[in-house]
Amino acid sequence: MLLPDLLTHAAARFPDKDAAVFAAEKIGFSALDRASRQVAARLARLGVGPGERVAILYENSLAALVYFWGVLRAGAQSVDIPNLSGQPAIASMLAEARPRALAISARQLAKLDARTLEVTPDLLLGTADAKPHAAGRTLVTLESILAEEAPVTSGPGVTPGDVAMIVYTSGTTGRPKGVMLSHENLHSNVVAFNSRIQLTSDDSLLVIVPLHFIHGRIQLLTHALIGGTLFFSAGFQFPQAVVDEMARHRTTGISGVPYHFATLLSATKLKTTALPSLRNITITGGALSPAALAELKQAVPNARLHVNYGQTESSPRLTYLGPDEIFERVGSCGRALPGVTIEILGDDGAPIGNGQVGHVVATSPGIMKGYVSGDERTSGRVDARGRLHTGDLGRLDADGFLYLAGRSSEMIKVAGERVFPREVEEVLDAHPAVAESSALGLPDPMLGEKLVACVVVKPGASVSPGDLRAHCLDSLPLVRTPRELRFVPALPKTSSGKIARAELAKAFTAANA
Amino acid sequence: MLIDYSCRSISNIRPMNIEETLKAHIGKELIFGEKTDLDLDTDLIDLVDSTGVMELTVWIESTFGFLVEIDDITPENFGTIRRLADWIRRNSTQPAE
Repeated sequence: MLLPDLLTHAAARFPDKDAAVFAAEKIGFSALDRASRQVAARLARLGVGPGERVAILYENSLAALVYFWGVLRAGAQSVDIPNLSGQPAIASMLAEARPRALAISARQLAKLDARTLEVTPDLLLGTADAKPHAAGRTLVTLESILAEEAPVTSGPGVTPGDVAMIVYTSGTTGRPKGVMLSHENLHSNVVAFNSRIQLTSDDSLLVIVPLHFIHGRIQLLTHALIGGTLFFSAGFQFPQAVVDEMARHRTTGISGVPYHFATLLSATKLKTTALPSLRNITITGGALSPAALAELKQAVPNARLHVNYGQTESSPRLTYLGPDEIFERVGSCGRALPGVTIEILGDDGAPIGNGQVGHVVATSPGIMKGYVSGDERTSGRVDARGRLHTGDLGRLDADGFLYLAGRSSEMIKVAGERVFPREVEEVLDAHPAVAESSALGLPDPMLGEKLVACVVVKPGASVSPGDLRAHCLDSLPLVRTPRELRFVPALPKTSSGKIARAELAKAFTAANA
Repeated sequence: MLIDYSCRSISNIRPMNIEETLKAHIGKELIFGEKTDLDLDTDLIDLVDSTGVMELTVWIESTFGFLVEIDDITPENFGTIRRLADWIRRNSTQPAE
């Protein structure tokens, strides 16, 4: 099974049904299928096909959706570039992935700086409103494709084991990592997860996350599998609007990270809004506290709560905890999905007994093909047996339920988005007044973790926290910019010279108390 | 803390300065720093993410001395500095200009 087959089947079963609804436009399954075949036809004429990459740098929109399916239909690989990344990060992703074409919105195209343009492919895909920003490059518009191209009828010319999507996510070294996922990786995950959550064509979803996240892409693929409608939220900046959208569209589902639900509970009228259609709430990317889970259940009593755990590198879901288990297995993120094996290993790499905390390692048909950088094995993320070392610590109980207990890696999760300290420290250290820095995640009731940083200023130099934050915001999106900065005379180090982050976190917390 | 949430009453902020106060805070703490060309009609929706909106809400409450109603946190009120300032004036106890 190839991913575009999901759309083919949905179009055959539900031709006139809405596939995607945006604020001002919508498209049915048959029309989306046809448009994707027209994009594939144009890409083929331009010589873009199997083995080649097309990057997508877009806000959630109908054009972005059509291009995504068109790229897959052409047998090419989509490369998701997070649209809130700073220009240096975008340039780094484009330089590494070397796409043949870039599908880009007018807004994003207008923002590309000179350095990013140097690594931007000559072939751009967009819409007519992007023309003023094309700066001499070839801009193919969706309007022209839909007006001129005959839809392709042949298959994409790839196999299920070929790479379908590359999703960029945060990496330990400070550079974004391109995770290569095959048609088979993703299809197996969508099917395995749906065998647990059991969504049908009667289901619909309000999409509140950007499509460039694996979390967004998997919702798209799942609703193609079931023939369900996706309603795209105007965004989570205004949480009450999200509740209003659920009520207005009568969506049956919403999927978010704990930050989303903590916000909906504390900053909206969710508790007093009738949402009789909402029957599935999926919590991903971390644990919602038991108290918040109970509060959520009370706020939306008709809804079944589902928890899952995974990573981009595992396409992404590894475990699932269903509504019947959620209040029985408090704190668990569930059992392995069909086809997935979870092992807990000790520091020596040998399996350890139930109940003991160790390194969480997974075997799954969803484990990535590799990183674009090719260092998945040398970095220790994937071992010789093909197992994914998640970087999380956890334990299994006697019934196979997984309980996470921290991280062996330095990853910080801010509002569901993973951040590695190195990427923040590299930006801070690049400021002329900074000698060295350390980024930390501190527990936060809303964000999960709050990103903070300690900075050592060079002798004789001077800089304000506001200046440093502004400096970070030149290169990093807000979520990756430290919320608080503290100047310290020196960073505590371990005997091996590494920054003693735990000690620093304690000092930071104590100073704030 | 980096962000100064210390409580100041709106009576200390002259009406004409609401826009300037907002501009300084948003520019320095939430967006790209003081060198950004942030004007009264810049679309803030493009620039501030969801955690930024919540941060801004907390800051408005402490700076301008009123409780922000959930129904008021909308793109209509938070879309630009001009609209934000107008809305703050309507919600504060400050006499109309």
